[in-house]
Amino acid sequence: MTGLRVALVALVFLCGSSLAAPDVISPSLRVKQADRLVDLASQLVKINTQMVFENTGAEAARYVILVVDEAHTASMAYINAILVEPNKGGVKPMKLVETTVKGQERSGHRFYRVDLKTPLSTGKTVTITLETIHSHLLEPFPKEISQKEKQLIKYTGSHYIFSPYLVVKQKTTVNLSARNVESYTKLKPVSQADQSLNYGPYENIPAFSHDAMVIHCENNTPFLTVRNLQRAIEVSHWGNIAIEETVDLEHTGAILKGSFSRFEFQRESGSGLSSVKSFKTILPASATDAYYRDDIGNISTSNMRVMSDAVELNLRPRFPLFGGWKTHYVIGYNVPSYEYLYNSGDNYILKIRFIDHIFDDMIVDDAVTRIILPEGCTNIKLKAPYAINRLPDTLHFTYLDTKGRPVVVLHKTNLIEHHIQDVEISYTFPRLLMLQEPLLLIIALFLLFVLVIIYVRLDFSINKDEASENRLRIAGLVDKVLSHQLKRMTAYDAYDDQLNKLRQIKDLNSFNSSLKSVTSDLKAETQAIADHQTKLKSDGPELAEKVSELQKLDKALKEVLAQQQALYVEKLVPGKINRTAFLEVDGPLVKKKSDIREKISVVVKSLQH
Amino acid sequence: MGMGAFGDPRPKRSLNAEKQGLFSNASGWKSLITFTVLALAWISGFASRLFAVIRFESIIHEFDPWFNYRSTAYMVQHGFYNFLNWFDERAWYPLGRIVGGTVYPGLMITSGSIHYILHSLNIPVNIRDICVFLAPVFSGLTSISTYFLTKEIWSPGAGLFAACFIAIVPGYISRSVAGSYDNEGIAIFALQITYFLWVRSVKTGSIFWASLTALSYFYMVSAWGGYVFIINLIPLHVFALLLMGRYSSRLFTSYTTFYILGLIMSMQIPFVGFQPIRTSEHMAASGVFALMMAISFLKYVQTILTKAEMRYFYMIAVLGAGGVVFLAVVLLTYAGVIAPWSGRFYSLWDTGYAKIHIPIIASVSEHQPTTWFSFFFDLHILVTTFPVGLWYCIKNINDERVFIVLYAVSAVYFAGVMVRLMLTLTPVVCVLSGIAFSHLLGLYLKEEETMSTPDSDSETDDGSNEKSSRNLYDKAGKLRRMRHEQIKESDGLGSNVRGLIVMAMLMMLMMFAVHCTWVTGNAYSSPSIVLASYGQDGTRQILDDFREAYYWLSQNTHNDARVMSWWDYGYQIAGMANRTTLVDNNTWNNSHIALVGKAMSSNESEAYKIMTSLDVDYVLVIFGGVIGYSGDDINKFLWMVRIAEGEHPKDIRESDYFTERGEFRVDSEGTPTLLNCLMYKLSYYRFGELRMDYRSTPGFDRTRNVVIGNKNFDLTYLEEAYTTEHWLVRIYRVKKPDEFNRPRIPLSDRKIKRSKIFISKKTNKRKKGSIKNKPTVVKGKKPTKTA
Amino acid sequence: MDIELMSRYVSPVNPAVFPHLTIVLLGIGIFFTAWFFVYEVTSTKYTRDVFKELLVALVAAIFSGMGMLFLMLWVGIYV
Repeated sequence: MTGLRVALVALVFLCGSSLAAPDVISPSLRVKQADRLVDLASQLVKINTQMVFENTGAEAARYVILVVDEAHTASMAYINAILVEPNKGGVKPMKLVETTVKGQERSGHRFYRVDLKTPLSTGKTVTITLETIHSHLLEPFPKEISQKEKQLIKYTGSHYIFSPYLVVKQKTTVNLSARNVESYTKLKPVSQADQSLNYGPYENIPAFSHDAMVIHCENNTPFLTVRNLQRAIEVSHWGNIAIEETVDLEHTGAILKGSFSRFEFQRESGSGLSSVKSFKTILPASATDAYYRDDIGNISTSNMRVMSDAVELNLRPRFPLFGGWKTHYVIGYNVPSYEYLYNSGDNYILKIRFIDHIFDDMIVDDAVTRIILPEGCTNIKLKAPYAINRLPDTLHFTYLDTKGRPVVVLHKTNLIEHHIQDVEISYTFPRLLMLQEPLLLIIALFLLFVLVIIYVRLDFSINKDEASENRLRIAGLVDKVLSHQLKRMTAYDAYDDQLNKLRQIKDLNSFNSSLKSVTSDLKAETQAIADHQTKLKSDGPELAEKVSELQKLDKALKEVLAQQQALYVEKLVPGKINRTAFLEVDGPLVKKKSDIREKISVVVKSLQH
Repeated sequence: MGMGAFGDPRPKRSLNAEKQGLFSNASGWKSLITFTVLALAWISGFASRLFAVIRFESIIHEFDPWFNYRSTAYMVQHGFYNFLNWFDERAWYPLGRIVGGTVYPGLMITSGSIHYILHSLNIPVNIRDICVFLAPVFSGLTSISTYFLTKEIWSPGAGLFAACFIAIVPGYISRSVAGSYDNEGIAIFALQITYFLWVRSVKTGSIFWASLTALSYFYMVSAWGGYVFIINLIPLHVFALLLMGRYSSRLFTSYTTFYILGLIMSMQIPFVGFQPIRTSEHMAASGVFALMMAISFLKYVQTILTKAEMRYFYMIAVLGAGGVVFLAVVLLTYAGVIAPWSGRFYSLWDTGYAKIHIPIIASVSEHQPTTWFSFFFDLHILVTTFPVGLWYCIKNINDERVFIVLYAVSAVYFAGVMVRLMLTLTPVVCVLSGIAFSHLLGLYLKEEETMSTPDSDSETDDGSNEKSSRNLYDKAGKLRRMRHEQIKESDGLGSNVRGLIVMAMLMMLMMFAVHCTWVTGNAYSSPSIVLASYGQDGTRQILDDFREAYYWLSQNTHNDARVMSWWDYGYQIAGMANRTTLVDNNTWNNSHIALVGKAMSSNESEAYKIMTSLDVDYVLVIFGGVIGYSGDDINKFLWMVRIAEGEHPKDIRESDYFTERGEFRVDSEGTPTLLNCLMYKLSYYRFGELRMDYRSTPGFDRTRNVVIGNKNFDLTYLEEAYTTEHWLVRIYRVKKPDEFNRPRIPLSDRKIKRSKIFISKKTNKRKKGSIKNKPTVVKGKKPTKTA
Repeated sequence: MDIELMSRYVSPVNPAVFPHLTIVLLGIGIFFTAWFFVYEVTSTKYTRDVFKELLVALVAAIFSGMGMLFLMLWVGIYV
């Protein structure tokens, strides 16, 4: 059983290796000239190797193999190859494909194949620059220093450029951050100038040569590492993208030994050289409402400077960071969505940085970026500029969410500034879904009101209070009577208006037509009041009395109006009456009318209380 | 002509009538105005408590709130039952603290349930923000319950006044600004609503209201130790009513219901437990309960017996019952079943008691007697108007007004004893001032012929009369008569004088509002963990040293590190730094505090013994000498000495720290004991070298305005681990035994000979719970510090 | 879908008008809410009209709801 399994595994392994056929290091290729620049001026090690490859064989070479040696692979955060074409003017990035090489399968070196667009024919040369950046490669030495001491670092590399080909001539320049060099290996020819060391030229070094180079020098630049970065990007289609970064920061230089003296730190200039008091974080130019806080509140010591192309935050942790000291903070800001969000119909693309600048020459050990998309997004796709590990999507619940917002979770380790690049998230979002939030609010409020409506209709009392019940019923009836009365009075107003009009314009036809509706209104209202009156009679006799008085007055008013109408229609309009006679007849009528109205309003008032 | 003029105004009048129909009657307007005023009171009360949030940030203030916040956060994270069973091993090292059984959980449950509800609605509010804004929100509820209480006692108008007063009165704001997340913040609401419900239940005599009273009393018990005030005041009210011959079945129903339900429910709080039946503080309530039963029995007997028999029987019964109850209490106390009065309680009666017997209580500034100044500062004009309201209540006494009178009198007494109890006085002052203002304005604002205000008032009175019993309310008539008399007088004064008086009252109210805002803004809105100093040009500089130090502790010390500091900072260290502390603001163990006090007041080597025996890793002291911060540890030092002396009179003597002239000074004339004690050394370590500016001498202490006496000294057993930017907080690391070189003892002097020592492999590592004075191996290492 | 073919996304409501929208909508909403509650308080079971109640409630809910939404957006709660 086990034997079979082993055989199977071996078979699979064989198949796998045969699928990706190992590349061959062509013996006919060699490096004619190599210049290496090792930059130790910061906490990163940046190695820039420019190599001129020459084909000495007969066959044209289609690719070149580049290699990163064993000691440098684990710390390598970034690798890039550039094709330098001085005569064509400029540089061109090339594609690096990780590969295996025949005869080197067991070694820890990492091999990359660079395919040449035009095969390198015999005698021709091609110039390629290999750029690698390494984090945590510089080792503080001694590991612990006191507050007064300077920070020294040790770099272990190789005097020779690590190459799978023979290197005919090579030179190495090492850039340092300070003049003070404790020691360095002296493989001649070597010279020290100001802040740099120059090794070489060395000639005809065979492939895969290694000769330990150790440089022990002062480096007080900030050794800060972001141990863990949590970046949350929340997209709102109402016009905002909120970004929040939670940063676990640690000083990874030489650890502080012994006590920390505030007195020395404040008064002596040479104290705590390697400590970090503050650093700069650069936010996008459109960032607003930035905040800088931690678990126990705002960190009050920070400055914000708005510049034309960026917002510069000068962040000061609560305490200066000495070697081995940690801190943790949250920084957040808003950017308008039009800067990063593109759409065409219901299809959207969010183009935003995977990580952003935290401080210069930063190292991020572990970064998780969570992109929170609006609720209801579907069809989410990711396009990354480099290999990013996409974890399973999750859901996020916040204000006015029902089924949760989809969250794209991205993860990557060992990042540096070169990883500040855009990722593209495309998704589909029906625009109508934006109405969901206001509708939710409206429905919630409406339900609240309905609850009130239901509540006032409920009656929890055990015994019914007949008297107050009666009182309420009567009050209700009176209210209705009053409202009908109000309508009736409005109808009378209209009646009056029509009469006035008739008097002035003397247009009988229009009067008659408009009068019809008025009289029907009057009739209906009067009838309604009469109905309520009969209901009132049994419950509140006194009030019914008042209502009947109202009805009587109403009848009188109606009569007066009828008289007036008769006067107008029969006498005034045909012109059968002269002005003085008309006024004599009309005047008393008007007075009578206003008297009755007064009386009605008195009755109405008495009903209101 | 006349016709046209007549026709025009009609539609307008109808329109007016229509508008009236919209908000048809007076009750609509009344409720709208009431609602608006209460809403505005809520909003303004909320807003005026936000000074600290706007000037600083949304942060928990002071000391105790940090503990409350920490336990709330714990409850939210771990659930309610885990909270109840929470044994906090990060406090009172090595004793620990059973938090669930030693807190009033009402506050945590309140904010925890708000958090739960909001999160179930997907509103992701941080628990810290809920804690910060809980007190301001509850102040709105307090003002509403004050409105209802005053409405029950006097009138809705007075209620509105009282609600507005309590919304902004500094005496209450001092305990309820945003960030002041303490029990009092919700307890005053519980207090007011309990009193309202109690008054309601006395008025109606309904079991429903009495049960509600018990329920809100339960909430109060869960929230604050001040519930004892309720459980004594309500029986006092009942007792007074009984004495006044105002016994009624309503009173019987409401008190018995309230007492039994309240008793059972209050015992459900783990921290209270059996106290309600076992401590003297609660005995008054049960005594009144027994009395109530006896009286109701007598009333029943009265219906059977004749008058003469009754008198005789009555005498014997009262005397007998009184004697039996008294004897029972005394015997039970003697037998230890009932605990005698606690020390804190004694200190309420004898203001000098605490100073002699419990220095820990006396050392807290808020336990000092109140000055007249602070009465005016906290209550302003109300302090003068509330006797007026009290007078009105006494003049027109009825059942519920007896209550408010008793409340006022007792609260005034307690507020005079302790500054802290100003808080219980404030609500009743607002209620009574509301009554005074409403009554006075009612008198002077009225037009001559319209009597609407007093009518509506007496109407409400009458309305309640109808429902309640007949004979007790005969004085309501008197009330009306009196008003008529006064009205006549005021009529005589004429409208000018009336207008003047009204203007004067409005001026007073305005000044009150201005004063409240000023006091709130200047005195009560400092988070005290963030300090602000103002430069000459008005620029503000924030001194964030406390958080700097606590955050340093939380990030850069071992998770189990034990921090020794004076107890004031215990809650903050636990809350912000999340480190183990030895003592904290829950001052339950005096001897433990005294031990820390002893360590602080001993010299370095003595202190080191105590510190190693307590496994101390870091020592934290507050030092204000650089910036002139007066609340630092050197200024508190005498209390440490006193408390230490109380437990260790042989080792620590207060007199050693005073000069011959009886002064406490840190300059060169200070006593050697003081200049060499741990607290002095930790505060002034390397301070002797520091110059503030070029003119001043080095080592000039700006808090005490002296040049310190002992300048050049070194620390043997400790090393500076961190000092904040303005030297406000200094943290020292206690060295491990192998880290310092101890003086060499000649072999002949050694008590334990080398050959006999068994060297265990573990000796190097310090184990937890090591024995005091344990022999330690001296290693031949050079001293790490040479400076 | 390629990003070159897309245009920059512009939100349906300009964030600059959030405060104005909030005040206007919430003001109207509060007015109708007040009307609703006053009506509920003053009317008795004999004078109530359920259609009127529902209508006022609906109007109040619509205006207050929209007002609250813009209030949230204004204060920075981007839903």
